[in-house]
Amino acid sequence: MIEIESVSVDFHTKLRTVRALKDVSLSVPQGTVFGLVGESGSGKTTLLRAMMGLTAVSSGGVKIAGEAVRQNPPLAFRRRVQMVMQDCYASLNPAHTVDQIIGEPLAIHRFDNPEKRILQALKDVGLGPEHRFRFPHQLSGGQRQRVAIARCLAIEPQVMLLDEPTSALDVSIQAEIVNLVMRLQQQKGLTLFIISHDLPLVTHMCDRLAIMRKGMVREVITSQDLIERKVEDDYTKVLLSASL
Amino acid sequence: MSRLEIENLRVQFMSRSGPVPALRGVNLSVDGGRVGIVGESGSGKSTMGRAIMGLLPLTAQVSASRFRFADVDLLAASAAKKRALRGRRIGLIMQDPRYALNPVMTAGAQIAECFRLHHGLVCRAAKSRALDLLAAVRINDPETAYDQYPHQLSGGMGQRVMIAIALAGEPELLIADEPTSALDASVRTSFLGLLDQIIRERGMSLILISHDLNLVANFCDRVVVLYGGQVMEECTATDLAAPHHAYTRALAACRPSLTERLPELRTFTRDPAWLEAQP
Amino acid sequence: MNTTFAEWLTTDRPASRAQARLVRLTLSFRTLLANRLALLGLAIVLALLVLALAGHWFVGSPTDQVLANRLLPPSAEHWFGTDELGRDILARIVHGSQITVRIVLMVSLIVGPFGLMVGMVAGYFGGAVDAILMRITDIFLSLPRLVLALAFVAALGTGINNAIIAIAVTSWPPYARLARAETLSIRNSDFVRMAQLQGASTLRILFNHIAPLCLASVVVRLTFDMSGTILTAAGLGFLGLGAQPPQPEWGLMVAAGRQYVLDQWWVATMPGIAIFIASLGFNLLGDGLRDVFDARSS
Repeated sequence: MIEIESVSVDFHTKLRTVRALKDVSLSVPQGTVFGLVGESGSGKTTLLRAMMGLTAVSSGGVKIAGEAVRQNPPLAFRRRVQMVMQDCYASLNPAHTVDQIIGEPLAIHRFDNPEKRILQALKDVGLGPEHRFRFPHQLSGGQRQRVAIARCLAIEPQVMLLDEPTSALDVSIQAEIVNLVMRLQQQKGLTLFIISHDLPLVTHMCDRLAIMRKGMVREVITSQDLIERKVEDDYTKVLLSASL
Repeated sequence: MSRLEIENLRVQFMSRSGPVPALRGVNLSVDGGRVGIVGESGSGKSTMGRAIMGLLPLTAQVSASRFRFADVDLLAASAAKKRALRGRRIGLIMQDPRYALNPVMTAGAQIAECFRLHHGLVCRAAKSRALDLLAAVRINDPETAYDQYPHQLSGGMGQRVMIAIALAGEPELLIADEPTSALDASVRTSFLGLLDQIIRERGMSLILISHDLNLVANFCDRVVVLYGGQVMEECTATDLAAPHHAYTRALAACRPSLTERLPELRTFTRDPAWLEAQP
Repeated sequence: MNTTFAEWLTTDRPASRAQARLVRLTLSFRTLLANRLALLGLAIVLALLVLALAGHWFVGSPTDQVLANRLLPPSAEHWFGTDELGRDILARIVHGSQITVRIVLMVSLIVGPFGLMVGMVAGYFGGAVDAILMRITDIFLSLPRLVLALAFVAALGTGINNAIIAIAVTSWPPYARLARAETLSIRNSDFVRMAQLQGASTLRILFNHIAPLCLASVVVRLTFDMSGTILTAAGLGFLGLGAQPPQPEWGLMVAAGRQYVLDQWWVATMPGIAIFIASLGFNLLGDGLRDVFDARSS
């Protein structure tokens, strides 16, 4: 579903060229959950931007659902690939009600019967009709992230990219959101690509995960192997011991 | 060793729609050692730290049957007396150095300022003491770091500068409010090692405020679990492996684990009785 | 029935979009009502509108001259006195309110949307578009407002419509700056990026996501500026470049009363008070509206 082939990204400043991604290759089959773990400056955000067509790649390429990602991709691509951001409060327009927020992508992609779809999307993420006409500031952190997820799911995407989806939430709320995402993934056969600095979280959610550092993929490993400590890379071991 | 004694501390914030309670009768006593305050957002843990530092906004109403640090009554103390306490006898480390440091002053100047303020040192002496302190918080090249502005420092370096500023007043009590949540996992380990060493060497008390049960259990001697502005449980860190209160148990259980893979993360419903159990 | 309707209007779980909108309006209105001065402002503005719409049915003609009644002081027959041609000042003020309201509304309807558009486009696209649009704005901003308006009226000819155009042309730049500043602060926010990632077109982002957030400050600013508009219109009238005699424009009336101000004070004072009260009303209302928008966003 997602094919990343030897992607490199260079950033040019006046003084020098910084290579943010070095020859990154990853492959995520349809309907699986893939995790990308790295600390700040590891290049995980750059990779995400490249996957969304927000950053130009210097060499290599990304294919999602068989279609090469380019900058300013067509509308059909946007419908297939959706994203949930880290800071759910900032990613919701403060002047829009939940109704408008979820209705917006439906209107952009000209879906029929938006009324029914909005209610269904709310139900999918465990929110009631009483939340429909609230503004983001009238919701709790967990509810906001549910709205952000409902907004993505409303247009029935195939791939969802989650950028640190729970790092702004308490662990108890994180557990609820994670369970919700995983349940929806199963139900709808979504392909998930999760980016996080939280190794235990990614291990719980994903089938396979990649460890990134300084723009390179150090190791791709299954969660099962990680739990059984079948780890080869030294940096992965450092992360593992720091996360215990 | 100076004692911090808090009995029945209540804090409420005045808002348009009436008073909002943040702390509802909290007891805490710190007499040396390390105390961890754990809670989720909205539990009142940060309010607690600010109340001790005297940094609550004007809309806050504070009451307590006992609220003292050493010989100072924190409820009755004048603003000047509280100011003399802050930085000098109680140090504070905040969550994110990017926001807590002054962006238009070099790191060194901010540390030297503390020496001038608290110890009345003149420029050169203050600078040399600041450089000593930068070395003490294991910054490799203190001379360079002294002249760097906060945006030129990495997260870990910034947090070390924060410790240096807190240490400059040679406080007896250090309050650290989520000191590691802006740091990467690998940096966090070395930062905690440094904090551990400094507290041991200087014989300070520490109040560590965090949302991370694991961190507090590993780093502190005693743990206070806050929920809804009330203490749910107070126990030694070792007892946290088998907590008594249902809330603490539930909180510990819902973290994803690296040793087993559960089909679902555990969640819990909040029992209203947790908040009624105490008078 | 009455209580259930009140509940229906303030429920926190409305059943439809229309009800949600009404609930929001009710709550905003309540915030406005909580501010006494804003309430006074609202009352003045409403009174001015009523006066403009219905006032002329209750007073005589503003242009009927009775030279025998020149410069009569306020009395039971002529509440505000009469002017140098024996016209009833009250009737002239009431009819003049139509002109004032027309100027204020027309200027606001031209200036608000135009400034908003220029500012949003400059702020959102940045770069050369921003530079060109903002330099044009700067040119208009750097010229003294009344002098520029004078130049326009001199070029276009006198009259109320030309005064409206002149005031509009000279007062849009602050709105462009305001909208640009607001746009810049939200252009790179996550929710705008999210809209882009969902495939929203640029027009859609500008009108659906950015405009509603700029609108609050633009409306507040418009309300504040309405008093300035009244004063500028009066100023143009006073200088003889706006409304022309015998139109009952308030500024013109003050100008005409100037030569009698020492002996027949009411001729200039009455329209002056009208200008003052109308300006005050818009200013107080603007204050209250700002509270309402602040309450919504926090």
